[in-house]
Amino acid sequence: MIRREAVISNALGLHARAAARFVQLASRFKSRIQIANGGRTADGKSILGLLALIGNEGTRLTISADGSDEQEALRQLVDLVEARFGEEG
Amino acid sequence: MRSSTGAPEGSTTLRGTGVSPGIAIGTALVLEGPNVAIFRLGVPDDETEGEVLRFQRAVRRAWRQLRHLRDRVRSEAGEPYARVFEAQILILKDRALLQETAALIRRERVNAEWAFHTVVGRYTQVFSQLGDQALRDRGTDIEDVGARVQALLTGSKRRHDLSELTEDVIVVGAQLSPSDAAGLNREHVIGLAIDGGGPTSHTAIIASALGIPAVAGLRDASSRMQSGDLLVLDGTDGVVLQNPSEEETVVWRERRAQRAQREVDLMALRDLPAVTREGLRVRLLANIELPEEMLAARRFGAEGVGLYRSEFLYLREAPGLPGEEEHYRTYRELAEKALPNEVVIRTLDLGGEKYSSTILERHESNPVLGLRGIRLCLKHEDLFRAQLRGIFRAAAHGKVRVMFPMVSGMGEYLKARSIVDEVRRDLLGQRIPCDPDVPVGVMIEVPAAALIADRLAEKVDFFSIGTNDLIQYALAIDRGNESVSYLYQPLHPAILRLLRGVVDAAARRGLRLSVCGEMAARPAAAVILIGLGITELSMNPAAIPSVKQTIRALGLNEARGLVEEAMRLDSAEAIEELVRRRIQDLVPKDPRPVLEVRP
Repeated sequence: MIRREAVISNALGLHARAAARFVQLASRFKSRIQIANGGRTADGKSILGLLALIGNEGTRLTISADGSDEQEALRQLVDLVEARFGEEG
Repeated sequence: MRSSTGAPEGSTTLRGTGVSPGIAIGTALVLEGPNVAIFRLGVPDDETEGEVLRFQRAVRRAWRQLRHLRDRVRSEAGEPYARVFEAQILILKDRALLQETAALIRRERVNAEWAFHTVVGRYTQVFSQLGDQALRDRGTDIEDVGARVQALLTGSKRRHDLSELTEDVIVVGAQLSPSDAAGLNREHVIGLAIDGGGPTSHTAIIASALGIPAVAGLRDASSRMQSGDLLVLDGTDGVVLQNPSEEETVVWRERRAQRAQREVDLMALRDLPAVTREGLRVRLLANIELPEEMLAARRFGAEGVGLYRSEFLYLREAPGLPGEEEHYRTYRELAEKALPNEVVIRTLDLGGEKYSSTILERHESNPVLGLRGIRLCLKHEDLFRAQLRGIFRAAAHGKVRVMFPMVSGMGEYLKARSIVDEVRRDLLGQRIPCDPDVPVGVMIEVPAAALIADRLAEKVDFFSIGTNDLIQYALAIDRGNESVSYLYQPLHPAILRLLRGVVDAAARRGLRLSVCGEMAARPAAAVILIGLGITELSMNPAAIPSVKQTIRALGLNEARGLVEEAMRLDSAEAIEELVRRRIQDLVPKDPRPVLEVRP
């Protein structure tokens, strides 16, 4: 299992549309994806779990991936968070 | 039940805020709120699997509805709106939600409604306890999905049937969820009456984009009305009549017919140019504050945006201040939507009556004369630079100009301009795509700036006169103060003199000049502005058609003569009387619906 930290930098934090993007991407990988914020963790493939994690702008998240495609999964997911969930407006 | 007030047959008048103009007369359809009573019912052992299946079928149907909605919204309103439904589809497919519900049905042998309600509640309660509105809003998508599935489970004809209406209705509700708004059947939803919200709410934006009359901010209206009540809704004045009398209904029907005819006449003008009888071309522009409002601006025939208020980026509920990227994305969307027309972006004008806790921590005893506009930007240079960088980068994607609010002297302008030059150099040095030739102007809204307009004109690229503040400062009148607001007089001789001075200063240097206060939206005042030599007027988009109609009927010499005469008079009352008398034939009859300008 590998893990990395990412900081949410889009204005509204982890709102439903951003979480949707994350879940869609996470679901493309076989690896088990988990997100931790402080002491709490959520399944990275569950939008409800992610929403309940409450990430504001500036929140540090630890993303972990465990499985055969964990390297690629982690890279792409961290990229997504750092690209502000690909928000345009 | 109604009529507990003891007023039997009489009609009730409810007042809110008109957020989308027009009159609607029809029967109410009261949306049930998300908190419908759901009962816990036991299910016999051998029927629990059937109950699970019933739940799964409802989820599949909800899923199909959402996909359909998403596709429809994508084609009608664009990708960003469609994404709301993308998130809802994922919520619906969330394994936790489905498995926990099925497990609960089996374990406790309860009906699907109760089990689903319980599971959804676990997730929504997390959000509802949060103090921050923006965070609480995250729960609304889950509630929206929950309500959709519940409606399918109970088979009730409810909120989500707004797309399947067969009769005309006025939709009444506590609020309009994204599902409701996107599912509105424009053919049959003739009006919207909403308890919450204001002019910048989701409801308001969607309603005015779709051209559906709407009143928001009606407080508890949805609990005082019942489906089937006859309603008269006036989205211009923000009034709703519940169960009006026969006579009242007749009067309102006539009024509606008159306004409808007028609307048709005015909208027919949309694609015609605003030219005076002699062929002087006047450009009519829109004042807006959200990129989404470009839709309405276009509908009313705006030839670009003359004032884009950037404050909403700072005033939203989300924590933190907007960074360069957010500015860039917002302005880029705006610039692209406005093409082939131009957008004039006003830099941050917080302060005065617009207050933001994040920037303005100190209480000011007289905020209108305090740290606001360009003064605030110069004090918080980092904020200012982030915004300017966003603007210059966005300008590479469209036609953009930038202007500073509340400039009161040359020193302020030069300081701001030097920051602009630095930002421009930095961007070019960093090889970040941008348009280095964005014209830079100032708003003339402090009387001092109007009086030194000749000097400012030597240094700036354009002027935009903000009449709201200019009048307020020049006449020392607080518009919000009821005891003196009658003295807020746009046609005061002092104002006309200030305007003339600015027009002359701009003309001598060949500078572009526009007016972007509410004054431009009043046909009678617009005639004076044109007579003074101003040919760019920016206003609330809904006011454009009536101003255009006036301009097309206007003789330029008449307007100039009118100004000359007005300049010789010595009171605002006398000037107003003169203008009223002289141009009554030019101004549209019953101009109210388009004269009213939203605050």
